[in-house]
Amino acid sequence: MTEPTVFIIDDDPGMLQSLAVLVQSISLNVETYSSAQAFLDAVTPDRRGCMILDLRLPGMSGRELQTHLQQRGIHLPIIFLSGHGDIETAVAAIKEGAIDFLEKPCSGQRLLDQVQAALRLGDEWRQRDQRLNTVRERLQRLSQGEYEVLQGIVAGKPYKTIAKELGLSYKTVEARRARIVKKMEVDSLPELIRLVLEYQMYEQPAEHKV
Amino acid sequence: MTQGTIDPALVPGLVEAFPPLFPRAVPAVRGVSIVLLAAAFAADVFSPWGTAAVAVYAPVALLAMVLPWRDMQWFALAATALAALGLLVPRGEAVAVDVVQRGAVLATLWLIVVFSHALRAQQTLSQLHKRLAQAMDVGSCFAFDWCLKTDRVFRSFNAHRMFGTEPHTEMSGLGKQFFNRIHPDDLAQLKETLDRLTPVNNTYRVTFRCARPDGTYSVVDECGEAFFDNRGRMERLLGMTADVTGRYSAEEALRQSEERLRLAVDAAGLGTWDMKVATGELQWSERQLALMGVPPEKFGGTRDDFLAVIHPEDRNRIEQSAWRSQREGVDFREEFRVVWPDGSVHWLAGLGRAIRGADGSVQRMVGVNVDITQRKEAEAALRESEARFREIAENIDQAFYVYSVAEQRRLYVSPYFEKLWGYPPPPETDVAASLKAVHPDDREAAAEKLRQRFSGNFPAGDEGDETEGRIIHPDGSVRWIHDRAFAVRRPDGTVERVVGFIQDITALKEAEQRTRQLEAELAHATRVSTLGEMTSGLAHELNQPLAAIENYVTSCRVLLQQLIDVPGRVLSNLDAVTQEVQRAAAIIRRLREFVIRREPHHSSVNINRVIEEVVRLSRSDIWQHGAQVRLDLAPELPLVQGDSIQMAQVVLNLLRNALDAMDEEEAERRWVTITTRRDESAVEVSVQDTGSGLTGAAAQQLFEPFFTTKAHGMGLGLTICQTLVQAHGGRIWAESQPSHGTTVRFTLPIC
Repeated sequence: MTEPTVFIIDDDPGMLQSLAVLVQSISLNVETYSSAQAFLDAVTPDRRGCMILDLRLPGMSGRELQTHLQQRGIHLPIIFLSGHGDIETAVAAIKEGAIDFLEKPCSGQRLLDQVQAALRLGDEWRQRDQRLNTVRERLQRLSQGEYEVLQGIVAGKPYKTIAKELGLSYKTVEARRARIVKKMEVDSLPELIRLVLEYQMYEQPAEHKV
Repeated sequence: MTQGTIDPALVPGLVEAFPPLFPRAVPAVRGVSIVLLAAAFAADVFSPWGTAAVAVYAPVALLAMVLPWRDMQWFALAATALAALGLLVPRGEAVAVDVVQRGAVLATLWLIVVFSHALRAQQTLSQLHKRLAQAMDVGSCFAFDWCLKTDRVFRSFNAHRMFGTEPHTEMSGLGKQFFNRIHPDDLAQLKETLDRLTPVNNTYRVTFRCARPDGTYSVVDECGEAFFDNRGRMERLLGMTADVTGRYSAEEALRQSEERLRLAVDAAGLGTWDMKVATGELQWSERQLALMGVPPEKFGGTRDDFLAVIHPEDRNRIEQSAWRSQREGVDFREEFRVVWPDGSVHWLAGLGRAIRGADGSVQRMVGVNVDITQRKEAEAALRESEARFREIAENIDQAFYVYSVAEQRRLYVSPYFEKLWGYPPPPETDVAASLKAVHPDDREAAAEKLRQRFSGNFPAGDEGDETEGRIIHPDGSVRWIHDRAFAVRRPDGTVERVVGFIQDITALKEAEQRTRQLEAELAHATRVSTLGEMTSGLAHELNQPLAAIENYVTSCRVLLQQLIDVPGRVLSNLDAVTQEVQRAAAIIRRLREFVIRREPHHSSVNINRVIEEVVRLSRSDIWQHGAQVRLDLAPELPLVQGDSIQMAQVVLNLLRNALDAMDEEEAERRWVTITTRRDESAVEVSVQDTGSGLTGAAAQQLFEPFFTTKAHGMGLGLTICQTLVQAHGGRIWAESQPSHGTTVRFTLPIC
């Protein structure tokens, strides 16, 4: 597990430098990039931390970079910086997962607060991602039949109903439930439901492969 | 034809015309002769000389020779009678001897008389001949006598003079040779004339040309008489030939003149007519027939033929007129139409004149007709053209005028003039009246132009002369007019007329002005837009270092806080730096907000709310300037259509200007009054300060970009306000008096 890093992307060298100094002043690791493309080339999904991203960049813009990162599954919290306030862009950016949108020149203290918040958020996202990955792995172990039963359980249906809908006997459903709990490595049914719901909330309901 | 011979009765007269040798002596000689004759008879009878006495008669006879012819005859007869009477007297001698003696004496006497008579006759004839020759010379004629049998011709002696030939050479001799002298064109005619002569019709008269030796021709008139033998053959030709070259030329001239008249009549296309009043008999020339469209074979030669072809609409009038001419003997002068057989209508002009007879009554009417269809058509075309011209001149939205330089007067002014000026054109001589309507600023130039127009003073070879100016309509409106005049020149280049158009170009001028204004606005907008972009860029560029400063300061603060003992002042100074950075950022943000281009967001706006909000937001500013703001807002003000933020910008800008304008004033005099009131169609907002006011020049330039009275202003505030107000369909203006403050007002139309 690497140390969390604050990635700073800004085309203005003075700005880049000052941001680096500011962030380093609270003893955080910093990496600076002068363009979105440079960062995109360097970043890997296993990196921890957060991003301070200038909205207006030569070449690929901040918003474009945000889109690219999402596509590549890199979930780093982004603090957008902008030369001038643009409400629409700000709203769009935040909808896409940016955690804040600061207008330059913003208060340094606020920026530091946001960086720390972002790092925490980054950790949360990371843990969540790990959880989701685990769930995904375990879900892969389920057979088709077991998955169907799981769906019924998550939907809160009684076993009888599940059995009836799937054309199975109650006993079969019971048996599958037991196998599911085992395969999903959970201690209780509520825990199973929580994991699956969280997974379904963040992951697109991927086509289950047997 | 007169007889070619001399009347014998004339001859004694001619003889008598010759006087005796000594006319004065005639009575004396006559008396002496009678005495001598008586004395001779007495001597014969009573003298003793016997028969010898008879000799005394001889002197009487000789003396009588000087007497006129009749006296001489009488004396001769008397002497003879007396001598015969003397025989009866008995004498001594034998009677036979006496008879012989007396016979001898009387024979001698009669011989003398006869000789004398012959001498006299010779003398008379010679004189007669001389006179005749003279007369013939004067009359340029000669007589001839041509014997055809022998072909000998005799011509009177002056023939050679007439033809310039030697006497008795060329002109005498054979008659047929004379034919060689005759002009070839006339020879045939002469020969034909001679061939036609008969014993019954034996005289002729002919004119021909006869050559002179020099090659020129004389025109001669010959009268002659032919004599025929009992077998009917012509044997003699007797006559007289007169040189009529001079007369002939005159006749030729007359003939030519007649010919010319005929040609002229033909060329002019004149048809001639002649009518006998009594019978109505009508004669038409060929041309007249053609004009009337009547084929010669259809022409009946009566008055009715004329009336028949006249156009029905004209017939009655022409008939009346013709009758009047005949009755009163006045000229007939009419224009009328005739209808040709093919149905075509032709205009004719007719002129007729009455010819009166000996009794004074009208006997004939003669006259001419000419086709005037073309003229009529031209007249009609002209009328039509003129009507069209008038129609155009009177209906176009231009005042059209024609001015005669020579006559110094206007020949025509189209009615539009009055419409344009608001009153009828003043007399051309009254320049002052013409100028009265002209705008004072243009009057001098207009006066000069008027002088030029009236005097026809146009630059040579120009296309036209244009001028523009303003006139003041009686209704008080100012109109721009454009006058374009052309010179109509005589062949010598002097200006005869001036023709011009005056046009109302007010709308055009206004459009021009509007265009200029739009161009200025565009230029202004471009500047503002450029400024906006520049400011936007600048803001970004400035924000970067400001942000960097902020970052550094914050990092300093963080680092310092990690130290144990940091003086409080250091941290507070750093806080101050942060504050200043934020202030600078705010300034930049505000600047950008003013010039940034964005789509206006229209809605119905309560301007009073906008003002109240602006004042609330500006509280700190107002407080800093130590000023008071008084609001005098009209209640229940109608809403206006527009962008509330832009309106707020305008109000804010005006408020800031007002605050800035009062910095020099004493604190208690710093009042800003913002008033709203309702106009007919707009809401008016005024922002009044109690500052020192503006000078005239500054007040005028107030809205120009980059004009400022402030030490650190950019000179864009009011320009932006103006742009925004105008974008809302309103207007903005300033009223200022030095030391009485400035009021800026703007209106916004009520939606």
